[in-house]
Amino acid sequence: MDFNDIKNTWKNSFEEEKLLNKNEIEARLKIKSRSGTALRKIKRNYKFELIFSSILSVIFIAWLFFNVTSPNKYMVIISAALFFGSLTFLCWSNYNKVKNTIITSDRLKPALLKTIKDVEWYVKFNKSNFTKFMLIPFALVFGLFLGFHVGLNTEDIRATIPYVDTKEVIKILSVVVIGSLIMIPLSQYFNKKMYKQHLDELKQCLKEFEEIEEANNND
Amino acid sequence: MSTENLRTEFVSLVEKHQGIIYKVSRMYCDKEECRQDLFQDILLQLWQSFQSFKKQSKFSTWMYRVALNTAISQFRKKKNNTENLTPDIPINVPEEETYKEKEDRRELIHKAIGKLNKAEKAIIILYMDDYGYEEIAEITGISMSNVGVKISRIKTKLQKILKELEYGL
Repeated sequence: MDFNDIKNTWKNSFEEEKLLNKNEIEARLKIKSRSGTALRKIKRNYKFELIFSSILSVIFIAWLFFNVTSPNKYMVIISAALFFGSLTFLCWSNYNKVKNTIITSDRLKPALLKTIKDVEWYVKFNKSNFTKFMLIPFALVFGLFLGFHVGLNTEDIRATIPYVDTKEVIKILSVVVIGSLIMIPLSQYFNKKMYKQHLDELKQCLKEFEEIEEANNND
Repeated sequence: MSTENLRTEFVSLVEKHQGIIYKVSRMYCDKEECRQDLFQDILLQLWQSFQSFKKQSKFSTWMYRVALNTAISQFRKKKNNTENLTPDIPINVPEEETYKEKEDRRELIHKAIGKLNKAEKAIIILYMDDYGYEEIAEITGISMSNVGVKISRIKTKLQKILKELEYGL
Protein backbone atom coordinates (compact mmCIF):
# COMPACT_ATOMS: atom_id res chain seq x y z
CA MET A 1 0.00 0.00 0.00
CA ASP A 2 1.73 3.23 -1.05
CA PHE A 3 1.30 6.45 0.87
CA ASN A 4 -1.25 7.92 -1.54
CA ASP A 5 -3.47 4.89 -0.95
CA ILE A 6 -3.16 5.39 2.79
CA LYS A 7 -3.96 9.09 2.46
CA ASN A 8 -6.99 8.53 0.23
CA THR A 9 -8.38 5.76 2.40
CA TRP A 10 -7.91 7.91 5.49
CA LYS A 11 -9.63 10.89 3.87
CA ASN A 12 -12.52 8.77 2.57
CA SER A 13 -13.10 7.32 6.01
CA PHE A 14 -14.55 10.66 7.13
CA GLU A 15 -16.93 11.07 4.21
CA GLU A 16 -19.71 9.09 5.88
CA GLU A 17 -19.38 10.98 9.16
CA LYS A 18 -22.70 12.54 10.12
CA LEU A 19 -22.08 16.27 10.38
CA LEU A 20 -23.87 18.42 12.91
CA ASN A 21 -26.11 21.30 11.94
CA LYS A 22 -25.97 24.72 13.58
CA ASN A 23 -28.64 23.89 16.16
CA GLU A 24 -26.85 20.73 17.24
CA ILE A 25 -23.54 22.58 17.59
CA GLU A 26 -25.28 25.27 19.63
CA ALA A 27 -26.97 22.63 21.83
CA ARG A 28 -23.70 20.81 22.51
CA LEU A 29 -21.99 24.05 23.45
CA LYS A 30 -24.78 24.99 25.83
CA ILE A 31 -24.92 21.56 27.49
CA LYS A 32 -21.22 21.54 28.27
CA SER A 33 -21.15 25.05 29.68
CA ARG A 34 -24.45 24.63 31.59
CA SER A 35 -23.37 21.37 33.20
CA GLY A 36 -20.03 22.97 34.05
CA THR A 37 -21.80 25.83 35.83
CA ALA A 38 -24.08 23.47 37.79
CA LEU A 39 -21.10 21.32 38.81
CA ARG A 40 -19.17 24.39 39.94
CA LYS A 41 -22.10 25.57 42.09
CA ILE A 42 -22.54 22.16 43.72
CA LYS A 43 -18.82 22.06 44.47
CA ARG A 44 -18.97 25.57 45.96
CA ASN A 45 -21.92 24.64 48.19
CA TYR A 46 -20.29 21.44 49.43
CA LYS A 47 -17.18 23.46 50.22
CA PHE A 48 -19.26 26.04 52.09
CA GLU A 49 -20.95 23.28 54.12
CA LEU A 50 -17.58 21.73 54.93
CA ILE A 51 -16.07 25.02 56.13
CA PHE A 52 -19.24 25.95 58.05
CA SER A 53 -19.52 22.60 59.83
CA SER A 54 -15.79 22.58 60.66
CA ILE A 55 -15.94 26.05 62.23
CA LEU A 56 -19.16 25.20 64.07
CA SER A 57 -17.63 21.97 65.43
CA VAL A 58 -14.51 23.70 66.72
CA ILE A 59 -16.51 26.53 68.35
CA PHE A 60 -18.96 24.12 69.99
CA ILE A 61 -16.30 21.76 71.31
CA ALA A 62 -14.26 24.72 72.61
CA TRP A 63 -17.39 26.06 74.32
CA LEU A 64 -17.99 22.68 75.97
CA PHE A 65 -14.38 22.51 77.10
CA PHE A 66 -14.51 25.89 78.85
CA ASN A 67 -18.09 25.75 80.20
CA VAL A 68 -18.93 22.19 81.21
CA THR A 69 -18.03 21.56 84.83
CA SER A 70 -19.66 18.18 85.44
CA PRO A 71 -17.50 15.14 86.34
CA ASN A 72 -18.48 13.65 82.95
CA LYS A 73 -16.97 16.65 81.10
CA TYR A 74 -14.62 14.61 78.90
CA MET A 75 -17.32 12.08 78.10
CA VAL A 76 -19.55 14.91 76.90
CA ILE A 77 -16.70 16.43 74.86
CA ILE A 78 -15.83 13.07 73.27
CA SER A 79 -19.50 12.46 72.38
CA ALA A 80 -19.76 15.93 70.83
CA ALA A 81 -16.48 15.45 68.97
CA LEU A 82 -17.75 12.14 67.58
CA PHE A 83 -21.03 13.69 66.47
CA PHE A 84 -19.50 16.78 64.89
CA GLY A 85 -16.62 14.75 63.52
CA SER A 86 -19.05 12.48 61.63
CA LEU A 87 -20.89 15.53 60.34
CA THR A 88 -17.68 17.15 59.11
CA PHE A 89 -16.51 13.86 57.61
CA LEU A 90 -19.77 13.58 55.67
CA CYS A 91 -19.29 17.12 54.30
CA TRP A 92 -15.66 16.38 53.43
CA SER A 93 -16.61 13.13 51.71
CA ASN A 94 -19.30 14.88 49.63
CA TYR A 95 -16.94 17.68 48.66
CA ASN A 96 -14.19 15.24 47.77
CA LYS A 97 -16.47 13.20 45.51
CA VAL A 98 -17.57 16.22 43.50
CA LYS A 99 -14.13 17.81 43.51
CA ASN A 100 -12.62 14.70 41.95
CA THR A 101 -15.46 14.38 39.49
CA ILE A 102 -14.85 17.87 38.19
CA ILE A 103 -11.11 17.39 37.91
CA THR A 104 -11.48 14.18 35.97
CA SER A 105 -14.52 15.27 33.98
CA ASP A 106 -12.83 14.81 30.66
CA ARG A 107 -15.78 12.59 29.77
CA LEU A 108 -19.01 14.47 29.89
CA LYS A 109 -21.56 11.67 30.10
CA PRO A 110 -19.83 9.50 32.73
CA ALA A 111 -19.01 12.65 34.74
CA LEU A 112 -22.65 13.73 34.61
CA LEU A 113 -23.92 10.28 35.59
CA LYS A 114 -21.52 10.02 38.52
CA THR A 115 -22.23 13.51 39.84
CA ILE A 116 -25.99 13.01 39.52
CA LYS A 117 -25.72 9.76 41.49
CA ASP A 118 -23.63 11.33 44.26
CA VAL A 119 -25.68 14.51 44.63
CA GLU A 120 -28.98 12.62 44.37
CA TRP A 121 -27.90 10.44 47.30
CA TYR A 122 -27.15 13.52 49.40
CA VAL A 123 -30.41 15.26 48.45
CA LYS A 124 -32.37 12.14 49.45
CA PHE A 125 -30.34 11.82 52.64
CA ASN A 126 -31.12 15.43 53.60
CA LYS A 127 -34.77 14.98 52.71
CA SER A 128 -35.13 11.85 54.83
CA ASN A 129 -33.40 13.61 57.73
CA PHE A 130 -35.87 16.47 57.58
CA THR A 131 -38.80 14.11 57.76
CA LYS A 132 -37.22 12.63 60.89
CA PHE A 133 -37.79 15.97 62.61
CA MET A 134 -41.42 14.95 62.79
CA LEU A 135 -40.51 12.11 65.16
CA ILE A 136 -38.45 14.28 67.50
CA PRO A 137 -41.40 15.51 69.66
CA PHE A 138 -42.60 11.96 70.27
CA ALA A 139 -39.08 10.75 71.03
CA LEU A 140 -38.63 13.62 73.47
CA VAL A 141 -41.85 12.91 75.36
CA PHE A 142 -41.00 9.23 75.54
CA GLY A 143 -37.51 10.14 76.82
CA LEU A 144 -38.94 12.42 79.51
CA PHE A 145 -41.38 9.76 80.61
CA LEU A 146 -38.62 7.16 80.77
CA GLY A 147 -36.49 9.60 82.79
CA PHE A 148 -39.24 10.04 85.35
CA HIS A 149 -39.75 6.31 85.52
CA VAL A 150 -36.05 5.58 86.17
CA GLY A 151 -35.86 8.48 88.66
CA LEU A 152 -38.78 7.19 90.70
CA ASN A 153 -37.23 3.73 90.82
CA THR A 154 -40.61 1.98 90.57
CA GLU A 155 -41.24 -1.32 88.88
CA ASP A 156 -44.73 -0.50 87.64
CA ILE A 157 -44.50 1.95 84.77
CA ARG A 158 -48.11 3.12 85.38
CA ALA A 159 -47.00 4.49 88.80
CA THR A 160 -44.94 7.12 86.97
CA ILE A 161 -47.95 8.75 85.26
CA PRO A 162 -49.21 10.81 88.29
CA TYR A 163 -45.72 12.38 88.71
CA VAL A 164 -45.47 13.65 85.14
CA ASP A 165 -45.97 17.42 85.04
CA THR A 166 -48.36 17.74 82.11
CA LYS A 167 -47.86 21.50 81.76
CA GLU A 168 -44.08 21.17 81.46
CA VAL A 169 -44.42 18.34 78.94
CA ILE A 170 -46.82 20.43 76.85
CA LYS A 171 -44.44 23.41 76.97
CA ILE A 172 -41.44 21.34 75.82
CA LEU A 173 -43.54 19.58 73.22
CA SER A 174 -44.82 22.91 71.84
CA VAL A 175 -41.30 24.30 71.50
CA VAL A 176 -40.11 21.16 69.70
CA VAL A 177 -43.15 21.00 67.39
CA ILE A 178 -42.90 24.69 66.45
CA GLY A 179 -39.15 24.34 65.98
CA SER A 180 -39.66 21.32 63.72
CA LEU A 181 -42.37 23.07 61.74
CA ILE A 182 -39.99 25.95 61.06
CA MET A 183 -36.94 23.74 60.50
CA ILE A 184 -38.53 21.36 57.99
CA PRO A 185 -39.48 23.91 55.29
CA LEU A 186 -36.35 25.97 55.98
CA SER A 187 -34.06 22.98 55.56
CA GLN A 188 -35.96 21.82 52.51
CA TYR A 189 -35.60 25.29 51.01
CA PHE A 190 -31.83 25.23 51.53
CA ASN A 191 -31.60 21.66 50.25
CA LYS A 192 -33.41 22.75 47.09
CA LYS A 193 -31.45 25.99 46.72
CA MET A 194 -28.04 24.46 47.34
CA TYR A 195 -28.33 21.10 45.63
CA LYS A 196 -31.70 20.08 44.20
CA GLN A 197 -31.96 22.83 41.57
CA HIS A 198 -28.42 22.13 40.32
CA LEU A 199 -29.15 18.42 40.34
CA ASP A 200 -32.21 19.05 38.14
CA GLU A 201 -30.05 21.13 35.80
CA LEU A 202 -27.54 18.28 35.50
CA LYS A 203 -30.36 15.81 34.82
CA GLN A 204 -31.71 18.11 32.11
CA CYS A 205 -28.22 18.35 30.54
CA LEU A 206 -27.90 14.58 30.57
CA LYS A 207 -31.33 14.21 28.98
CA GLU A 208 -30.47 16.69 26.22
CA PHE A 209 -27.09 15.04 25.67
CA GLU A 210 -28.75 11.63 25.31
CA GLU A 211 -31.29 13.08 22.89
CA ILE A 212 -28.46 14.39 20.70
CA GLU A 213 -26.70 11.02 20.92
CA GLU A 214 -29.91 9.20 19.98
CA ALA A 215 -30.56 11.55 17.05
CA ASN A 216 -26.98 10.96 15.83
CA ASN A 217 -27.38 7.20 16.12
CA ASN A 218 -30.71 7.25 14.26
CA ASP A 219 -29.15 9.21 11.39
CA MET B 1 -19.38 42.44 18.56
CA SER B 2 -22.06 41.12 20.96
CA THR B 3 -21.76 37.62 22.44
CA GLU B 4 -24.83 36.54 20.47
CA ASN B 5 -23.30 37.65 17.15
CA LEU B 6 -19.97 36.14 18.09
CA ARG B 7 -21.65 32.83 18.88
CA THR B 8 -23.56 32.88 15.58
CA GLU B 9 -20.34 33.53 13.66
CA PHE B 10 -18.56 30.82 15.63
CA VAL B 11 -21.29 28.23 15.06
CA SER B 12 -21.29 28.95 11.29
CA LEU B 13 -17.52 28.56 11.08
CA VAL B 14 -17.57 25.36 13.12
CA GLU B 15 -20.36 23.94 10.98
CA LYS B 16 -18.21 24.54 7.90
CA HIS B 17 -14.98 23.12 9.34
CA GLN B 18 -16.28 20.50 11.79
CA GLY B 19 -14.52 17.77 9.79
CA ILE B 20 -11.33 18.88 11.53
CA ILE B 21 -12.79 18.04 14.95
CA TYR B 22 -13.93 14.63 13.70
CA LYS B 23 -10.48 13.90 12.28
CA VAL B 24 -8.63 14.94 15.42
CA SER B 25 -11.07 13.05 17.67
CA ARG B 26 -10.71 9.93 15.52
CA MET B 27 -6.91 10.16 15.54
CA TYR B 28 -6.62 10.46 19.30
CA CYS B 29 -9.47 8.22 20.45
CA ASP B 30 -10.24 4.71 19.42
CA LYS B 31 -13.48 4.28 21.32
CA GLU B 32 -16.69 5.99 20.20
CA GLU B 33 -17.49 7.24 23.69
CA CYS B 34 -14.05 8.81 24.07
CA ARG B 35 -14.38 10.37 20.59
CA GLN B 36 -17.70 11.98 21.53
CA ASP B 37 -16.20 13.43 24.70
CA LEU B 38 -13.13 14.74 22.93
CA PHE B 39 -15.41 16.29 20.31
CA GLN B 40 -17.27 18.10 23.12
CA ASP B 41 -14.08 19.26 24.78
CA ILE B 42 -12.59 20.57 21.54
CA LEU B 43 -15.82 22.39 20.76
CA LEU B 44 -15.89 24.09 24.14
CA GLN B 45 -12.18 24.91 24.00
CA LEU B 46 -12.67 26.44 20.54
CA TRP B 47 -15.53 28.57 21.82
CA GLN B 48 -13.56 29.70 24.86
CA SER B 49 -10.57 30.64 22.67
CA PHE B 50 -12.62 32.17 19.87
CA GLN B 51 -12.87 35.57 21.55
CA SER B 52 -9.09 35.88 21.45
CA PHE B 53 -8.85 34.65 17.83
CA LYS B 54 -7.15 37.55 16.04
CA LYS B 55 -7.96 36.30 12.51
CA GLN B 56 -4.30 36.59 11.54
CA SER B 57 -4.37 33.02 10.30
CA LYS B 58 -7.09 31.05 8.52
CA PHE B 59 -9.90 29.82 10.78
CA SER B 60 -9.19 26.20 9.81
CA THR B 61 -5.50 26.59 10.72
CA TRP B 62 -6.38 28.10 14.08
CA MET B 63 -9.03 25.42 14.60
CA TYR B 64 -6.52 22.63 13.94
CA ARG B 65 -4.10 24.19 16.41
CA VAL B 66 -6.68 24.42 19.21
CA ALA B 67 -8.11 20.96 18.45
CA LEU B 68 -4.69 19.30 18.43
CA ASN B 69 -3.62 21.05 21.62
CA THR B 70 -6.83 19.95 23.35
CA ALA B 71 -6.45 16.38 22.14
CA ILE B 72 -2.79 16.21 23.15
CA SER B 73 -3.48 17.57 26.63
CA GLN B 74 -6.31 15.03 27.04
CA PHE B 75 -3.98 12.33 25.73
CA ARG B 76 -1.48 13.17 28.46
CA LYS B 77 -4.20 12.76 31.07
CA LYS B 78 -5.24 9.31 29.96
CA LYS B 79 -2.62 7.48 28.02
CA ASN B 80 -4.70 4.36 27.75
CA ASN B 81 -7.04 5.74 25.08
CA THR B 82 -5.62 3.56 22.40
CA GLU B 83 -6.10 0.39 24.45
CA ASN B 84 -8.72 -2.15 23.46
CA LEU B 85 -8.28 -1.55 19.79
CA THR B 86 -10.18 -3.76 17.42
CA PRO B 87 -8.56 -7.15 16.83
CA ASP B 88 -5.94 -7.56 14.13
CA ILE B 89 -7.49 -8.05 10.73
CA PRO B 90 -5.16 -9.32 8.02
CA ILE B 91 -5.99 -7.40 4.87
CA ASN B 92 -5.21 -8.18 1.29
CA VAL B 93 -6.18 -5.46 -1.11
CA PRO B 94 -8.13 -7.00 -3.99
CA GLU B 95 -8.90 -5.09 -7.18
CA GLU B 96 -12.57 -4.65 -6.34
CA GLU B 97 -13.20 -4.23 -2.67
CA THR B 98 -16.47 -4.99 -0.97
CA TYR B 99 -17.89 -2.54 1.58
CA LYS B 100 -16.69 -4.76 4.41
CA GLU B 101 -13.19 -4.93 2.97
CA LYS B 102 -13.08 -1.15 2.58
CA GLU B 103 -14.18 -0.76 6.18
CA ASP B 104 -11.52 -3.21 7.34
CA ARG B 105 -8.87 -1.34 5.40
CA ARG B 106 -9.91 1.98 6.91
CA GLU B 107 -9.88 0.43 10.36
CA LEU B 108 -6.39 -0.91 9.75
CA ILE B 109 -5.13 2.53 8.73
CA HIS B 110 -6.69 4.18 11.75
CA LYS B 111 -5.19 1.52 13.93
CA ALA B 112 -1.76 2.08 12.42
CA ILE B 113 -2.06 5.85 12.93
CA GLY B 114 -3.15 5.16 16.50
CA LYS B 115 0.23 3.52 17.11
CA LEU B 116 2.11 6.75 16.32
CA ASN B 117 3.02 9.05 19.18
CA LYS B 118 0.97 12.20 19.82
CA ALA B 119 3.33 14.57 17.99
CA GLU B 120 3.62 12.27 14.97
CA LYS B 121 -0.16 12.00 14.82
CA ALA B 122 -0.50 15.78 14.77
CA ILE B 123 1.96 16.15 11.89
CA ILE B 124 0.61 13.32 9.76
CA ILE B 125 -3.03 14.36 10.15
CA LEU B 126 -2.16 17.83 8.81
CA TYR B 127 -0.07 16.40 5.99
CA MET B 128 -2.80 13.97 4.94
CA ASP B 129 -5.29 16.82 5.08
CA ASP B 130 -3.18 18.62 2.42
CA TYR B 131 -1.69 21.29 4.64
CA GLY B 132 1.58 22.79 3.38
CA TYR B 133 4.85 22.63 5.31
CA GLU B 134 4.49 26.28 6.34
CA GLU B 135 1.05 25.73 7.87
CA ILE B 136 2.14 22.50 9.55
CA ALA B 137 5.10 24.37 11.06
CA GLU B 138 2.78 27.17 12.23
CA ILE B 139 0.26 24.81 13.83
CA THR B 140 2.69 22.39 15.47
CA GLY B 141 5.36 24.92 16.37
CA ILE B 142 8.25 23.03 14.76
CA SER B 143 10.61 24.60 12.21
CA MET B 144 9.69 24.37 8.53
CA SER B 145 12.91 22.56 7.63
CA ASN B 146 12.16 19.97 10.27
CA VAL B 147 8.63 19.34 8.98
CA GLY B 148 9.84 17.64 5.78
CA VAL B 149 12.25 15.39 7.67
CA LYS B 150 9.61 14.43 10.21
CA ILE B 151 6.97 13.70 7.56
CA SER B 152 9.36 11.45 5.69
CA ARG B 153 10.16 9.52 8.89
CA ILE B 154 6.53 9.22 9.89
CA LYS B 155 5.54 7.96 6.43
CA THR B 156 8.17 5.22 6.64
CA LYS B 157 7.13 4.35 10.19
CA LEU B 158 3.44 4.25 9.27
CA GLN B 159 4.07 1.93 6.33
CA LYS B 160 6.15 -0.32 8.56
CA ILE B 161 3.38 -0.47 11.18
CA LEU B 162 0.83 -1.22 8.47
CA LYS B 163 2.90 -4.10 7.17
CA GLU B 164 3.25 -5.48 10.67
CA LEU B 165 -0.48 -5.24 11.26
CA GLU B 166 -1.32 -6.68 7.87
CA TYR B 167 0.82 -9.75 8.32
CA GLY B 168 0.19 -10.02 12.05
CA LEU B 169 3.88 -9.55 12.91
